[in-house]
Amino acid sequence: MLFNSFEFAVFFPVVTGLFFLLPHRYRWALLLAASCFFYMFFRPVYILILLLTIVIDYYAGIWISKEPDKRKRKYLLLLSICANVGVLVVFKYYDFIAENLNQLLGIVGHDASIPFLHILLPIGLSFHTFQAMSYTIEVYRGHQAPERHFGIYALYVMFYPQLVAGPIERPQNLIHQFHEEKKFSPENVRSGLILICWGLFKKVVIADRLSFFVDQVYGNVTEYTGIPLVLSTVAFAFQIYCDFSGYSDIAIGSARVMGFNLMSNFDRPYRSTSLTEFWRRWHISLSTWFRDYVYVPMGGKYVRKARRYLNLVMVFLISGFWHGANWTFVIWGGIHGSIMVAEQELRSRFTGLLHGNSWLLTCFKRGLVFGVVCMAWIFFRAGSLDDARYITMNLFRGIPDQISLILSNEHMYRLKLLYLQQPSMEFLVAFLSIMILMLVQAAQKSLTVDQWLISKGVAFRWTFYYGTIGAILLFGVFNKSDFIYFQF
Amino acid sequence: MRRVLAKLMMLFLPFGGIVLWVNFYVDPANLFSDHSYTKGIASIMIKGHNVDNVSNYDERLLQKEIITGIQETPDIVVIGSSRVMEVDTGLFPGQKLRNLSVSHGNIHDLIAIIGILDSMNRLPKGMILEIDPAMLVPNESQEWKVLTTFHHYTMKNLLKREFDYGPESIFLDRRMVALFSIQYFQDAVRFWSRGRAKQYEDVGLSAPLSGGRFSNGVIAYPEYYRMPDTLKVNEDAAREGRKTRMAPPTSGMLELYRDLLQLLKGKSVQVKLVMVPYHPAYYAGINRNSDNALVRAEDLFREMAEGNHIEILGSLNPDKVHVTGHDFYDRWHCNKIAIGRLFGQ
Repeated sequence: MLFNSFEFAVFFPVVTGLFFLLPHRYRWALLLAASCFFYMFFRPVYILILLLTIVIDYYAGIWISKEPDKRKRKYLLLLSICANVGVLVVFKYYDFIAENLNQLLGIVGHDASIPFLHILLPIGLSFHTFQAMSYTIEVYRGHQAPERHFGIYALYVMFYPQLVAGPIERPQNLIHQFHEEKKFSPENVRSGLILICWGLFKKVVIADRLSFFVDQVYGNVTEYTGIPLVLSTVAFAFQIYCDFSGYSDIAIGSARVMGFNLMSNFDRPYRSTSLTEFWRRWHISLSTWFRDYVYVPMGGKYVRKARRYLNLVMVFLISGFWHGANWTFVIWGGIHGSIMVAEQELRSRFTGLLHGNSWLLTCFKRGLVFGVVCMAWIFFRAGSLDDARYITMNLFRGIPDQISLILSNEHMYRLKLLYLQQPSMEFLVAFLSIMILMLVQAAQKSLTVDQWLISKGVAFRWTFYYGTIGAILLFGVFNKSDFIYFQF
Repeated sequence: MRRVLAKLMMLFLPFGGIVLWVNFYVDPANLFSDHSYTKGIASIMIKGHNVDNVSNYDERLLQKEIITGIQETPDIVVIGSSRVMEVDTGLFPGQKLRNLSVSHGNIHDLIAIIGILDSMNRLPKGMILEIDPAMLVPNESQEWKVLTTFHHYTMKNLLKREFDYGPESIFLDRRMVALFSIQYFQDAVRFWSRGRAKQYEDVGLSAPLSGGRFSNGVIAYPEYYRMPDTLKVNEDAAREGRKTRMAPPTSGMLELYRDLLQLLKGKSVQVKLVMVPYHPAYYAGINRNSDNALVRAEDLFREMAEGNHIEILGSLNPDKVHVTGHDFYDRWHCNKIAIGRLFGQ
């Protein structure tokens, strides 16, 4: 079930209403049943995979906590991790590995071929396996008591707002909330609904509209050079941000209405002045997951510099691979890792470099980071390595000529070079909605959008509510498009 | 809680009211008006003229109006979904053809339209019926229900079958869906803001250029639809193919189709079945996801046709009928040239 669907518009109020009508002791069952229904809307049979990992991790958690022998505890943890990673490998990476091994065998002159499975990726697989793994790791580390109530544990993995695309929660933050009795709170309802509306605005007004422009160019890259490639790459930067952060806002908002607090997943990442800051603001639940469960166990910052840099690149390569079974994602991760290393090295050598808080300098740094992030997005979005190579080679080719063609007032040129074959009205709506997004983000300062709005007066708030809902109704794209991050 | 509910109503009710009001009063597809619009289109077509700018009508009611109004029984009638709407007179030289296909047409549309033809004594000598697994999915599309009277006529009087019409569900009514639809609201606002006329146009014997119908019922697509970006179509077909699943028809649905063929045979109507290919990328994707459902469906259709000594034309598989991705308007609909190939031209 998609958050931007009619089904969810019915499902959400019904489940929320029942949640508050039921006594506390039955609520976990309601939420679990609702989460199963939500998940089974995509492909019912895949719930069996979830069930398998839930059962393994549930018992692994209990056995780890009971086991006094440290070595055996480690084996149990490994068993749980292998089960989760095994599911990921089979369903997400098998065909990719087989394809690459076949190519490798071909190169060494072996004609044996590993068969493909062609399995459709279960939706949100990478998210719930990572969430399940964080549970057994935290139990192993002694930071979380094992959950003995099977239903509550299953709900921790399956809680519908964050089941298919996060935020990837930690057991310490979520499990205890299922045990607490949630009271109906007007503040939570208000805050949750603000997040849902803002998330929907980002998804259906901005992200889904930008997809027209991005798909047009990235679907036929060799037909373009220069401005269309730059514009579509920038459009993709906003598309993926609005798509994923919009999903996160709706997820957090849906949980908030019922009184559950999910961790924040985005904090206006395109306002970052360094790549390190960008990764503190982008997909926070995944970045901190990799930090806590991969980077820190590798030694974190307490190892020699060269080793630390190598670890950093390794973590980003793995993060890239997490996003998809394709070399383009690995390269995307590699670019981020390498630039992070370069950034840290430069900072350690030239401590005063680009230091200061002037408005102009901040803008320059933000522009630089945004440019780097956009360059990396090319590899993330491109359909193949060849496409990505073509785009990077032709990104700035012919721009001066194209500018004069656009200024020549010939509609045909504007249509191809500026509007990317879409109606000019679509271009205008996309541009204005991005401006609104940036204005709101600038006004938010350190607050979240709901906190910022609640701090404003009644008249401003209600104008904002009506404006946002009106924009969703008038300019929303409602063709049931999936959220980009579902595929991961 | 009451205060929260009151505030929520203050917030959402005005929008709900505006959506309902605009959808009902602007009503770009004439869903809430009487049937005079559809009757007007039918009267032009019955006169033998082509009609243009006709996006807003109920196709099923149009077929009923046409069959009721025509003075002569056609030689050949084509019934199916939008995938056969371009089957034209040129494929049957010297014969009078009428294309009675409807969008999202399924077996119940076939039954209902055959019911209209029989009850009006307009059953032709020849009939081209589309067969496709998407037409044989139980309870898939309910649009045929505007012709329930004729469906009932065929089921009860001709096929001697019982059929459960189920409770009248207002939620299945497309007018009800449109009333609450945000997409319909956006269409209505766009329609209203452009000051567009709802009026169709009698273009005589000229070709309808902005989307209409030829006098024999064959669809006339607008240019933007006939000349698509094939790369975009290919990408869309591949993407949709990756996530679409389909099942071969159930024995119950096949039996119903078989009974319909027997009925037509009994009434001396010479039937030919036609299968229209899917876009190659879509076809491959569906087969991959659904354990070769389209291949198995085609085998079943051929078996049924052979068992009833009925000729079956075309194929669901584009390769078999030499149709490529360039021959498609979208993942479902191939162009006139490809349609011609199905009929050996």
